[in-house]
Amino acid sequence: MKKILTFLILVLAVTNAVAQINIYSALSIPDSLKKDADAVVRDEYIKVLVKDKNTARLEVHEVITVLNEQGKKYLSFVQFSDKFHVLDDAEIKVYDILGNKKNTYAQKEMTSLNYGEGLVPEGKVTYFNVNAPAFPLTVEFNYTIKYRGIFSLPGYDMQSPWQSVQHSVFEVEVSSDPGVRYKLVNTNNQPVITHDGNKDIYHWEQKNLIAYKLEKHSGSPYSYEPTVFLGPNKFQLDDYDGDMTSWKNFGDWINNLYLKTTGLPDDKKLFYQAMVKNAVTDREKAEILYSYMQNNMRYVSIQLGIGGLRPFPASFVDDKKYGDCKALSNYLKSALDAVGVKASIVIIQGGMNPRNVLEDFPANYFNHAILCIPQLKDTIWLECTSTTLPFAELGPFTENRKAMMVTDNGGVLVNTPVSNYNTNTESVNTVIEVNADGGAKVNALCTLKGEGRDNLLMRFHDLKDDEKRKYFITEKEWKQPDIFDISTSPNKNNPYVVNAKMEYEKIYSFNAGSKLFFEPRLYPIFDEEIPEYEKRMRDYYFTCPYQAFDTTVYKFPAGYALETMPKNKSVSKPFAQYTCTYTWDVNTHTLSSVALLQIKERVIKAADYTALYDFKKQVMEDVNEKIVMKKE
Amino acid sequence: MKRTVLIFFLLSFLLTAKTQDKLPSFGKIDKADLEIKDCDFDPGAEALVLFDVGEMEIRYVENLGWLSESIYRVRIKILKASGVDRAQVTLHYYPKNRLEEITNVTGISYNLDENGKIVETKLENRSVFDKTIDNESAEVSFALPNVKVGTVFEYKYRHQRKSYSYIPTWYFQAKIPVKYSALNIVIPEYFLFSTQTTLRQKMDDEKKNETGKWYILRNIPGLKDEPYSAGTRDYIQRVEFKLTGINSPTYNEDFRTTWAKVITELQEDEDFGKAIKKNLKGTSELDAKLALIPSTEEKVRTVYKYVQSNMQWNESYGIYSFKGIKDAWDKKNGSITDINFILVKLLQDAGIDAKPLLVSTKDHGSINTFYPFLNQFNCALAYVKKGEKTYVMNAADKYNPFNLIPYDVLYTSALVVDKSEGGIIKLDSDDKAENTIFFTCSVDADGKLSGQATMNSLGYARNVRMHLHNTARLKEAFEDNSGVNIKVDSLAVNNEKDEMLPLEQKVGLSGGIQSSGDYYFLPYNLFTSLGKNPFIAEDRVTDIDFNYPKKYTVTGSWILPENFSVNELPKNTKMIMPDTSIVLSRIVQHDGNIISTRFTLDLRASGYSADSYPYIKEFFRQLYLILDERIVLKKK
Repeated sequence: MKKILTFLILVLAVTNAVAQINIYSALSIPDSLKKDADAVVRDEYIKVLVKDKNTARLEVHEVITVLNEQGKKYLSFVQFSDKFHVLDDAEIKVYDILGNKKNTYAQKEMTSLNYGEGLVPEGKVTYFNVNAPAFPLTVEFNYTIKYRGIFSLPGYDMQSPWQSVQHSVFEVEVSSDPGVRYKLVNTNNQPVITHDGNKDIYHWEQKNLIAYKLEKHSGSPYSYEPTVFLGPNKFQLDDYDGDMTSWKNFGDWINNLYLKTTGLPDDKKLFYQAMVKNAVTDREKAEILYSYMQNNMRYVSIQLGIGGLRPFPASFVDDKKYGDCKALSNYLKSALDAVGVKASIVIIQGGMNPRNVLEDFPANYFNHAILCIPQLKDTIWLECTSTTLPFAELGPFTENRKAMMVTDNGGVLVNTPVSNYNTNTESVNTVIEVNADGGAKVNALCTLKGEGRDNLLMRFHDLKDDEKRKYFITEKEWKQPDIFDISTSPNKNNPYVVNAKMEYEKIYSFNAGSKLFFEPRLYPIFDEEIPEYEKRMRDYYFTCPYQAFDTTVYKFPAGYALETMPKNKSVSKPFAQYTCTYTWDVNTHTLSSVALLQIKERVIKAADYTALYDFKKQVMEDVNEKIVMKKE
Repeated sequence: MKRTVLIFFLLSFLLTAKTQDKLPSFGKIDKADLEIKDCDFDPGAEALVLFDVGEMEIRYVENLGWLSESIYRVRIKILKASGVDRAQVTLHYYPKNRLEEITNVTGISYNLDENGKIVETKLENRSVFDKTIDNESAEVSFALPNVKVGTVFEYKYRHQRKSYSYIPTWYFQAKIPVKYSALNIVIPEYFLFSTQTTLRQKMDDEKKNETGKWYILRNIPGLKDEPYSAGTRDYIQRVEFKLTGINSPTYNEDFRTTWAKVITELQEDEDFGKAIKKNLKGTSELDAKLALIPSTEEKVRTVYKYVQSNMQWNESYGIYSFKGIKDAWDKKNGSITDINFILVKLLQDAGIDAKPLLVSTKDHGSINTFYPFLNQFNCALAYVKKGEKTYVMNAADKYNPFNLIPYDVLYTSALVVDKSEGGIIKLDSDDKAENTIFFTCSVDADGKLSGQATMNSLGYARNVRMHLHNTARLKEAFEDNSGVNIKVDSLAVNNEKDEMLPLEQKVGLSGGIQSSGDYYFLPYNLFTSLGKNPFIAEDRVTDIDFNYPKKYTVTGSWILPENFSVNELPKNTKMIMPDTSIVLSRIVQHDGNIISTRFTLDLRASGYSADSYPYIKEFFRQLYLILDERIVLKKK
C-alpha cells in the first residue's frame, strides 16, 4: 500500500512537471495572447499572509515572457526595503525561447543600495536587470517581502496595458483577527472566500486575458487598470496602534502622531500676533502668515519618524526655517493657532493624475500634506511647500480630488477645489511693426495667472537672460528673432508679466513672387497632443482647464496691400471653445487677429473624444492659416 | 593615544597654514556681502560662491601611517529663489576600511533683519547626517538653516584620507559662478607630484614665504549647458595631480613612466591583462558557428554580435575588471570593461589577435598623450588590426555594428595595450550618418494627400533609426514634420538583422496639406527629423560636437490635381560655408502636374571650435529659413 502511494505521488509530480514546462517556452503562447502584448504573464501566484496586525508576508512567484524591446521593463527586478518591509529570499531565473533555463540569479548577486532623496536614507533598494540576448525571453521571479506592521498592504494589479495574462492567482490568507478588507477597482472579479479555523482565505484566479492598449493622456493607471486593494482593519506601525475601518479612526491615529508636535514658544506666538495686529478676518490673518512662510521658510525633504508620517515639531521648523510638507503645514497650523485661526492638516495624494480615493474604503492613499482653514464660504486651502503659489490657490498638483482632513474628531474625507479655467489664464498681446524689407520690430506682452504663471515662476523666472530667451524660443516656441530682449515682473507678481521685445530680419514665412505669407501669430496658441483614434476607449485628461487670449496686430508700412486674410473662425463644443476674428483697417494699414481659446473641462469623456479630435482639427486649420500681403 | 596625536597635529596644521589672501574668518561676515544683488562677472546667476578654499596636508602620523588631511571651506551667497537649494549639501566619501572620513562639519547662515542687523544661525550637529550608500560610497548631508534669497551661508569640514599618493582634482569652476577659488597643498618635499591644468583664465602668480603651494583663480563664470557640446570635462577649469616619485633619504622610487611601461604593468595586472586570460564556459553555440566561418572579418563580426547580444551593460565604467570576466559572463551583466574583456577573450579563443584598447569617452574628456597616466581613461574596448583594416569595438553598445568606431570615442586618442604592437593610436574614420529619403505624394482636389516614402539609413544613422524602431518610436518620428500633417498608415523595416546593409524603412502615408483661403502649401523637407534650430544662443563657450559628419538627401515628387496651379516654387539654392564644410542645395522643378524636389544637406565636419560659432549660428539661421520655405499652390 505504501508503495502504491509513493508511485501515485511520483506520477503526480511528473505530470505536474510536464505541465509546467510549457509555461517557460515562448512557443506555447496562443496567438490571441500575443496580440497588442509586449509581455505575457504566463503563470503568477501571489500570496499575502497576514498573521497579526504586526506581521505579514508577501510571497510572489511570477513567470513572464517578454515579447519585444518595449516589454523590457519586465526584465528589471526592483524592490525597496525599509523599516516596515524587508525583501527576503529573491531569485530570478531566465529561460530562452524554447523554455530552456539559461541562468539563475540569487539575491546576493543583485545590487543593493541605500536610497533617499532627502537628507536621511529612506531605505534600501535591491535591483537586477536581466539581459535579453533576443526576444522572446522568459523570466521567473520568486521573492518574499516581510511586513512589520500592516499599515499599507500590497494590492493585486491584475493586468497592465500592453500585457496579456495566461494564468494568475492572488490569494490572501489572514487571521480572522485582525482580518483585512478588500476593494475591487475596474473589475468585477469576486474572490472565492473560504474559512479554515480562525483563518480567512480569499482567492482570485484569472485565465487568458487578452492585452489592452494604452491610449495617450488616459490619466492615472488606477482609473483603468483592474486592481484589488487590500486595507487593514486594525494595524500597528512602530508602537502606534491604529484602526483603519473608518476615516474617523484613521484620522484619530494621524492625530496621535501629530500630538506634541504643534505649539510654539510664547515669544514666537507674540511675534505672530504682532504681525497680524491690523488684520481683522481669518482670511487676512492667514494671508499675512502664509506670505511670511513663503518668504522665510523652505522645503527640504527629510523623511524621519514613523515611516515618514510624523512631522518634525513646529519648534524644529522655527529654528531651522525648513521642513518637509508635513512639518511646514504643521508649523503654519501652529502659527495660525497662535493668532486664533483654526486650521487642519489635510493628508492628500499629490500629483497631476491622482488615484481615486474610495470613500467606502479607508486606506492610506496619501503621500503629501496641505493645510485647510474651513470657512462658511470660500474655504482656504494652502500648499505650504510652495514659495510661488498665490495665497489660497492650490493648482493641479492637489486640486480635483478627495483627501483626508485631520480634525479634532478624527479624519473626515473632503474634496479639494475643482480646477477652473478662469484661474489658469494666459493673455498675449503682440504688436508687429513690419518694415519695407519684410523685417519687423515686435513687442509682445504676456500676462499669466494660475498654472501658466506657476510654471514660469518655477522654470523661467530665475533663469539668466540668455536662458530666458532660449526658453521662449524652445519651450514657448516663439519664432526665432535676430535681436531679443526680455523682461519680467520684478517680483513674483500675480498676474505675472513677461515683456519680449524682438526684431526680425524676415517676419513673413515665405513668399510667392510679390505675395508674402504671414503667420496669424508668432507662437502656437494651441499645442495639445490629441491623436486620432478609431474608437477611444478611455477618458482624456488635460493637465488643467485653461483659457488663452491672443491679440496680434500687424502694422504695415506703405507699399503693402492686403491680398487675403483668413476667414473668422468659431468652434464650439460643450467642453471647449475657440474663436478667432480678423480685421483689416485700411486707414491705418493694420491687420488684427483676436483669438480666444478655452479648455473648460479637465476630463473629456471617451464618448466625446470624436468631438475633441474635431475641435483640435478645426483649431489647427485656423492656426495654420496665413495672412497674404502683396508688395507693390 | 592615537587620538591625542592626531588632534595635536591637526591643531598645529591649522596654526601654520595661512591662506594667501586674507579671507574673513569663519563666523565673520562683511555686511557688504549680504547686500550683493547680482554677480558682476556672471549676471543673473542664481547664487554666487564667494569663496571655495581647500587646504590639504600630507604627513606621517605615528600609529596611523600616512594621512592626507584637508580642511574645506565654502561660502555662498543666494541671489535667486532657485538658488536656495544650494544650501542642501551632500559630501561624498569612500568608507571602505575607514580609508576616508568626513568630520568636524560646521556651518552658519547670515541674514539681515528688518533693521539691517546681521542675524546668525548655526548648523546644529544633530542635523548633520552620515549615510552609507553601499560598501564603497557614503555621504554626509545637511541643510543649512534659515536660508532664503539674500542669505550668505558657509560651512567647513575636515576630510581625511589614508593615503599619501592621492590628491583629488580641484575644480575651480562650478554650475554657479565662483568669485575666489583656492587650493593649498602642503606635502613633504620628498613626494614629487606633477600637475596638469585645464584653464582658460590666468592663475594667480606664486607668492613666496607661504606654506606649500597655492592654486588660485578668481571670478570664474558658471558652467553652461549648450547644445551639441562634447561635455564639460574638456572645459571645466581644474588642476589634476599625480604622484610621480618618492625621493627620501631612505627610499627612492620613480613613478614617472612611459606608455610602454604602463602597458607592461597592465598586462601583468590581475584585473587587466590576467583577467582576460580566464577561461569562459558555455560558449558552444559560438564555437559551432565559428567552425563554419573561414574569413577573419566574418569571425570578428560573429564574436562581436554574440557578446553584444549576450551581455547587459550595468551602466558602469572603469578600466579594470575587478570582479573578473567569469563573474560577469555568469551574470550576463557587467561594466563596459568586463564586457569588452569578454569580447577580447572570445576573439582570441577564435584565433584572432584581439587586444584591449583603453579609451576616454567624450564626456570623460580628451587625453593628453604626453602624460602617460592611466587616470585619463575611463574604459576599455576591444581592438583588432588585420592588415589595413582595424576594428574598434564596444560590445556593451547594443546598436553599434562591429565595423564602426563607437561614436563616443570617435576621433579621440586611445591606448592599445599590447607589448609588441601597443601604443597610442588615433581613432579616426571617414564614416558618417547618412539618410537618403525618397517620397512620392499625390494631392487630391481637397488637399488630402497619399503616398509612399522609402528611407535608407547608413552608418551612424542606422544605429539611431534602429533604436527608434526597437522602441516603437519610428512611426512617431516620421509623423513629426513641419508644414504638413502626415499619418503613417503602414511601416515596413528591412535589413534589421544585417547591420552591413542600410536600414530600409518603407512608409505608406496619408494626410492633409496646409492651406489658407485658396492657397495651399507644400514642404519639401520631409522625414529628416531636423527639428528646430539648436543654435539660438547669442554666444558660446564650448566647442560644437556633431559626433560625426551627417548627410541628408531628400528626393521628392508631388503629383498635383487638375484644379491646382503652381503659384510659386522655392528658388533653386546652394549655400556653402566659407570653408566648404557644410553644403546645402535645393532644386525644385515643375513639369506638367508633377513637382520634383531634391534637397541635400551635407555636414562634412564632425565639429567646430567655439570661436567659429558666429559662422555656424548664421549658417543655421539661414538653413532653417530655407527649410521653412514652401511650394505655393493656388486652387483654380
